Amino acid sequence: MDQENVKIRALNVKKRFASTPFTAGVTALQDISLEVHEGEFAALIGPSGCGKSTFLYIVAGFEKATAGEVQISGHTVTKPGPDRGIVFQEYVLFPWLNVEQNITFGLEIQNASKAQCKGRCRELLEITGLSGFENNYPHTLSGGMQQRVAIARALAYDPEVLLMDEPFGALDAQTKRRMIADFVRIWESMNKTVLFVTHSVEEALMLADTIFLFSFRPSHIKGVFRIELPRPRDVAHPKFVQIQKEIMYSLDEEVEKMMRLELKGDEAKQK
Amino acid sequence: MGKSVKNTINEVVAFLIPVFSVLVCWEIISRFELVNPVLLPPPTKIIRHTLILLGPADVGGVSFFLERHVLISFTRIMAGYLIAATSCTILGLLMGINKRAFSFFNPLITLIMPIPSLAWVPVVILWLGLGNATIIFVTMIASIFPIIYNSAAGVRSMTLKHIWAAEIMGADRRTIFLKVLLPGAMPYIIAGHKLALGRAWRALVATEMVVATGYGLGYLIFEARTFMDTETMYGGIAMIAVLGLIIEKGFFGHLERKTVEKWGMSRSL
Repeated sequence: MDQENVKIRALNVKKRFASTPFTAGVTALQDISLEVHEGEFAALIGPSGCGKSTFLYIVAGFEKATAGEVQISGHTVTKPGPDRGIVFQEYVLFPWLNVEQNITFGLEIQNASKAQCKGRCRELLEITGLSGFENNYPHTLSGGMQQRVAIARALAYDPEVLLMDEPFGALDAQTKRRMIADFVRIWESMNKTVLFVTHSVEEALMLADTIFLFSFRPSHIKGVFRIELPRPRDVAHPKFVQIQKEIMYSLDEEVEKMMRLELKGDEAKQK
Repeated sequence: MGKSVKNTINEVVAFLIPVFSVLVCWEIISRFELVNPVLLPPPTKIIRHTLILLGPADVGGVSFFLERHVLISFTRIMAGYLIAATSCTILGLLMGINKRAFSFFNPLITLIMPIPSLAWVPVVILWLGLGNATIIFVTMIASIFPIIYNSAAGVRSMTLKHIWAAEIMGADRRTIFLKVLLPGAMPYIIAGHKLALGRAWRALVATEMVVATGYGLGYLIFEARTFMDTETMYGGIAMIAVLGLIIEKGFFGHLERKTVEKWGMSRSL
């Protein structure tokens, strides 16, 4: 792929959390460099605590990198902004706004007209399968439905990049499968650049064009996997199974490192 | 529509059953003179007496005797509470968003809060004299702390991720405050104001007893004691309860149904 359509570029991103009176300092990200092209679906996978969410928050502009930088369409990220959209694991909807008001929150901030908001909202309700729920308040919806609202909210103002932090992690297995299938459809219809954090290899394989495997912290990118299977993907496809094994094996080594460190920590406490 | 009317009726009935049970026991105890009926007159007599005080009949030279006292008390509490409500909600919100404001005001509040509002009465009498100003001032002192604390806590109850979600959509600080922190703090703010009014009522009645201005429910109850007029005393106490109920169920109940209950941020019982 050529250099021109690189949407997200991370250059030697390092993140160190300073020590506080209660915690020791820790280097979460050692050296992360990656490129995600326009329209590409990229998944970040790694053992828990490897800093993949931290990296996503640096891309979002919520956290600052200790060294290195992130560029979106060639512009260095300094703060959050509407060229990006975010979906959190915990939905983080505004409970005092109904579904429609939640979805149009970003549009209203950018001074879109009432008619524009209405039209765009109707479109998104349609795409995300929420039609008929526009007047519901978030608490009346199931987790899966709330996450659909969060996805619609992030897409409403048409950001260049969609950032997703384990968006299906809080859902039960059936809902999750359904959401993944639906999200593939949504993504194909929009052709957006997506950066998707997950700890599920299967989820990453169902969705992504490219999977970046993070090592345990201080993390670097241990492997990059290109998934060139047509969507919707079949979990039983031999190629799917083969890549899954490969990633699993590599991931397990990192999980092993994490476990060892945790055990060491426990032993230290016992002493 | 029909269903909501039915619900309201059910709610009222559920509320009245325990109240009636106690009143019936009280009536029996009093009528059979198990206790001295002067000290504990039967509720029916208190109600009849209270209705006379509420009516157009001439009592102590004026008609609508009880309304006058209620109105004065109500005006005083509203004055004290509203001064506190406006200034302290703002101060609390400021403490919620600004760390420096919090660390400046928090020690002062921590120090002053445990002082019972009545402890201020003698001092405030010296400042403002034996009149409305003193009563309003003490009522205000009683209201400020729950309002400040809850407004500040409400702002802090919004998670960082809520703020982030708004920020990435392009919200500036002002928008974040108005569209995220303020509505997010609502459940806490409403609870704070409820507590404040409850405390204000208590301070009001007690201060009216000390600062005898000739009017107000506290004054009325205290004065009636001098004449052993227990029916008026109980009538006055009942008025306090009824007014408290109207504010709690009528005003705050309505406000909560329109906001935090609708948003699912507070469970309706």
